[in-house]
Amino acid sequence: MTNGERYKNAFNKVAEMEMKPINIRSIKKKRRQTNHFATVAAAIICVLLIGGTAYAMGKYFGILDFTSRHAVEELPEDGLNLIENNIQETLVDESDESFINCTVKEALCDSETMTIVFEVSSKEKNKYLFVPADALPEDNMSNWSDITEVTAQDYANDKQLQIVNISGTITNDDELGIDSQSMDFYALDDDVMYVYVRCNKESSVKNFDVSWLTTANIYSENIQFDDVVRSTITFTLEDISTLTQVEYLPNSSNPDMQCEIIKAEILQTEIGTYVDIYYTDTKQITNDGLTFRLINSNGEAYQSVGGSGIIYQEDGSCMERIIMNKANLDDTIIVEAFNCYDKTVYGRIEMSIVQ
Amino acid sequence: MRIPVETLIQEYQRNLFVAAFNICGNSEDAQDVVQDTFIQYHTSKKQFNDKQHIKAWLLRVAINRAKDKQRSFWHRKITTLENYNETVVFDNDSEGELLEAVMSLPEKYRIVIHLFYYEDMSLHKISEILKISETNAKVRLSRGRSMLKSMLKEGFTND
Repeated sequence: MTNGERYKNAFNKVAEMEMKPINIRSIKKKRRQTNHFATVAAAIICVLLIGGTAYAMGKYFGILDFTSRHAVEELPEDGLNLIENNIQETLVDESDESFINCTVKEALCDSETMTIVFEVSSKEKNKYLFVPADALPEDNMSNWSDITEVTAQDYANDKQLQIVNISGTITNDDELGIDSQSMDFYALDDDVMYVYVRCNKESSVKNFDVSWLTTANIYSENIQFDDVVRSTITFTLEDISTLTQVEYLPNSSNPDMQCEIIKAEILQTEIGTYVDIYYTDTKQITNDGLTFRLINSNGEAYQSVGGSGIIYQEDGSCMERIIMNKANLDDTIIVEAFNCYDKTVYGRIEMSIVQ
Repeated sequence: MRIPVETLIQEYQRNLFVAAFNICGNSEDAQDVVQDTFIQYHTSKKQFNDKQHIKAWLLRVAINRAKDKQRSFWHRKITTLENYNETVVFDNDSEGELLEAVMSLPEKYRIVIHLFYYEDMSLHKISEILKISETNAKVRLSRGRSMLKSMLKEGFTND
């Protein structure tokens, strides 16, 4: 038996024993669980603090409204000026039977990230109840609106509305170097849904075109491709952030770190601090959970709001990006290596800025 | 061209699952990755040249999502491979040993080995999916093979 046959047999056995059948409904359930993990706790607070206010003032639900929902994300003061709210989109394509309009309400980008809020509304009023892509009829409306204690199904039945799942995606993601897009939803009216999209991007051009596809489908357990209504808009964003870049080198080595830190490149914009740690995986434990965090002068870890995972370099070394809210770092920083699974702290190393 | 997602689930669910399992090391996360990948296809309007183009795109999305999940601070499940060796019945011991050996490789070697031996992909195709150079893919395959040779009783030839 060849290696290929042995290999296929081994992994096929795992698939036979462990893989479960999937359908669209179960996909939606999974998506719902992931989304709610991030937003459900904040949703109730949001109802009290933000949602009602925004609606009463007749405003849209913007980036700050969304970031206020996420306890771990707070936009720095000097990042506020970077929010664009006068973006002209062009409708480039839509299904013949499309019943939605989509506009860009706000965008915020720097060289590394992009955050956009879209408004999706119905062309025909008082007919539809818009819910997030991953919502099910039995879900409580409070998960995506300021309406509480009622399920989408009960609400829709009461007002004789059809439930419509709203979703979307940036379609030129390859061109912009986007690997994944995280989303959140908030409805300010039955048929007006705000979609918040945040992603990391690799393209560092100052002006770039974004192509956004909105999808809408009347809720069904067995949704087919042709049941989905699509609408594509394009618009241009401008990165007006100021980027500064500094490099830190280790003052000494520490064998307890389980790896050899080569350098840290730190990119800073008005929005965030991006720490790229380059290291040699000397003990081959990166895949066992080795990761890093920055420690402040009080000995506490800076809060991370995201990360890249391991990016292997051409020379065999590794790089991991830590994304933090904008932080004013000293000329000397402390990097701590730890195991992200069992939280074991391996060690710390002091690094100094290269002048 | 587009193919209905239901058809793709039928044809490629297993390929995506084993690729995701190869990275995540547990079936729960692998299952999530497969579902998320099909969702991304379903909501995307991307047009493809042919079926192989779709398969390559799905694999790349699944691999990236699996890597993200592996490093995620929010979602981490750990199931030791020993647990799988207890529940999964292999035709012979060498298959179980091979699985364990492959899964103990560093991720960068593991995924190249997987695409080469499970998907029968050329080094050129692997380099396109992983966005690395062909030389880099070749080095990773070679190092991965060497490590497997030293770990397996029956060895691991270069076929």
